Amino acid sequence: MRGFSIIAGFLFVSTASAGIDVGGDFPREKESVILTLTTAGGAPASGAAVSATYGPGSEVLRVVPVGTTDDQGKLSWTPEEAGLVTLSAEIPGAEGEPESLTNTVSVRFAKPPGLGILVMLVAGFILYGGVVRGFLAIRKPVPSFPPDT
Amino acid sequence: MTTKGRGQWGSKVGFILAASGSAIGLGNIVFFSANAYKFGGGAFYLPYLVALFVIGIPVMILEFGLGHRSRRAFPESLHSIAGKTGEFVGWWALMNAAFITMYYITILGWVMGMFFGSFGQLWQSTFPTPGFATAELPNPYGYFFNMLSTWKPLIFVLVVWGLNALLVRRGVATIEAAVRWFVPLMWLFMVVLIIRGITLPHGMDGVWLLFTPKFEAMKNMEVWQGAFSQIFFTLSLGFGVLTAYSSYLPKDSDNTNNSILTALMNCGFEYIAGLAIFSILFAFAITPQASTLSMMFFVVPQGIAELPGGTAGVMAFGLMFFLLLLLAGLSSSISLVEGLAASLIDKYRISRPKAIGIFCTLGAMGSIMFTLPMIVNPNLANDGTLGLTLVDLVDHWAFSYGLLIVGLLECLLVGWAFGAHKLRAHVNRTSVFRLGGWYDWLIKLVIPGLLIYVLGSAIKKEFKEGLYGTTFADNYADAFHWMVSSPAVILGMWVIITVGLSLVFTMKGNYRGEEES
Repeated sequence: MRGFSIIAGFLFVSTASAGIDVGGDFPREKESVILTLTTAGGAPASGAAVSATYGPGSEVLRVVPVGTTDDQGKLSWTPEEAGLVTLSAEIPGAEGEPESLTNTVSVRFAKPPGLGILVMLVAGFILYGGVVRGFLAIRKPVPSFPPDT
Repeated sequence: MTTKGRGQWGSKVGFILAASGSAIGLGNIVFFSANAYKFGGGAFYLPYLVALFVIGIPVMILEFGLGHRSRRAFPESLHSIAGKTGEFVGWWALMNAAFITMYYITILGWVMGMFFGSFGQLWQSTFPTPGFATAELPNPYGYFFNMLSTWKPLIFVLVVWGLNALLVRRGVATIEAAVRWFVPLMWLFMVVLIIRGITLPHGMDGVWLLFTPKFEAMKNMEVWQGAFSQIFFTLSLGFGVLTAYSSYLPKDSDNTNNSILTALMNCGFEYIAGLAIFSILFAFAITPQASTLSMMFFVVPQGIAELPGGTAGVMAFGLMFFLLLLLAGLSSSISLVEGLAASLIDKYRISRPKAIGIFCTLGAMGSIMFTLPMIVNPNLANDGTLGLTLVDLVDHWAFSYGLLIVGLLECLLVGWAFGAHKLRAHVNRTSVFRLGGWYDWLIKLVIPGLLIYVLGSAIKKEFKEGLYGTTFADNYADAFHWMVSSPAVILGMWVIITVGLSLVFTMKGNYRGEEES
């Protein structure tokens, strides 16, 4: 339980790894994209087992296997939901030492989410409606009621 | 009780700006977003709003009501309802708040350092980090840890303490004058960041991510615990400052409306901060981290570094972000300083300059401890420097436990020792929205029950996983292996100093009108 938390652990958070490419624009949920994996040496990463972690670092994260890359280091992936997704791959090494690749991508919504918009509007109405009402109330003189019995 | 010579807020709006400024701090800007991401996005709003209306606003009404009723700061307010026992709780809250103030101002010193770094060095790709295992680190990590491993932050910390002393030198007059600038500027800067964020390519998808609920998170009790803790911390409850602020209100003040307005402005600020933070992070595929310092110093600056507009654009938004943090932090820290200064003035009838001088001098010495630059963890598996490690350890007890303990005790004192119905009667006398009997049950049973549950869960975790900080021992450099016992030592010192000083302040001296024993 942390209120004003401090760094829980130092992570080198990188926004992109050269090893896993998802193509030009942000992928969209439910639309396939072709992943292209390359090793540190620049060669296609064939036979790499790829998994997708939806909601990395959250309490609702889930890891879903995506598949294994072909000889050209390519693999088709259809994001299951929108949000932040960390793609991870283990490439079997020639001398038994695997190489790990990661890339965190933002997956777009297929269309604006109705439920999300509803939450935004309801929460906003409660908070800012209350603020407006409160400021209007402070302009009025305060009545002095007799003590409660 | 006479109020002769006691300051008074110049206007109702001035008080609301000051109170909301006290509540809106560093955590509002970044921590809520990180928590919302961690606990299921829009689904987190349900426990959050429940916590706001069941715990946050009722306790705020209690704290405002106490100060307004007694026209005195926290210890004397509690003394007026529960004698020396109440007074002890009040002083303990302030001693705990003093610990928090010391490292909070250290953190503001780091913010000031990052602000100056935003003029250029922070946006280089890497920065040298001599003394650490890696000779240079990618920015912003490199700049931040380089700064922490030098004595430079000491200068910034002393400047921030000086600013605090300046801004509270004439009490509510100078505080109100300051917040009339600070708070509107905070909102303005946040709106500019929102516009920048949502106009980024796919920035709006970040906003949808913030609000789209993942209801499976609600099955996890940690989400509810997180919400209850979050609302307590975000509203600045348990520091004693809201009682001090409300002691300067005129008699005909509507404290129920004041509480609702202050709380909703605070939570409203978190709401819009989420829009800015999530849109920027999503646009650059950066994962939020549930740590205020990580978000402020690493995650968000990473996003700012990616903003289009060249060096000038990045620099402008970087400066704005850190200035926003500085303003939010200052509006909170001046309330912390005022809370303790007012208490010393009330009890010992010393002058304001003397009270401020005492606290700021001792406080600055404490803050210096938190700036110690020795590198204890060169691999950065934990906090890196001695100062940051001390902040981490002290924060764990003072912030995560101390505030909730104060909240529990003040509810029990008001609810059972004094009578919640009496405070309710006082508040209702000048409130348009009149609290019913349900309020008494919230104060007497529901809120204490929830706080006991949250504290109990935390203590259980402490026993299960070991005292917080014991795992740091694996990563200390050889020269700092003596710090293996630091978690227990810090805990012991926190308990001894807060309890000891509270006893001294409680037993030494009497309030006006109190018979000499």
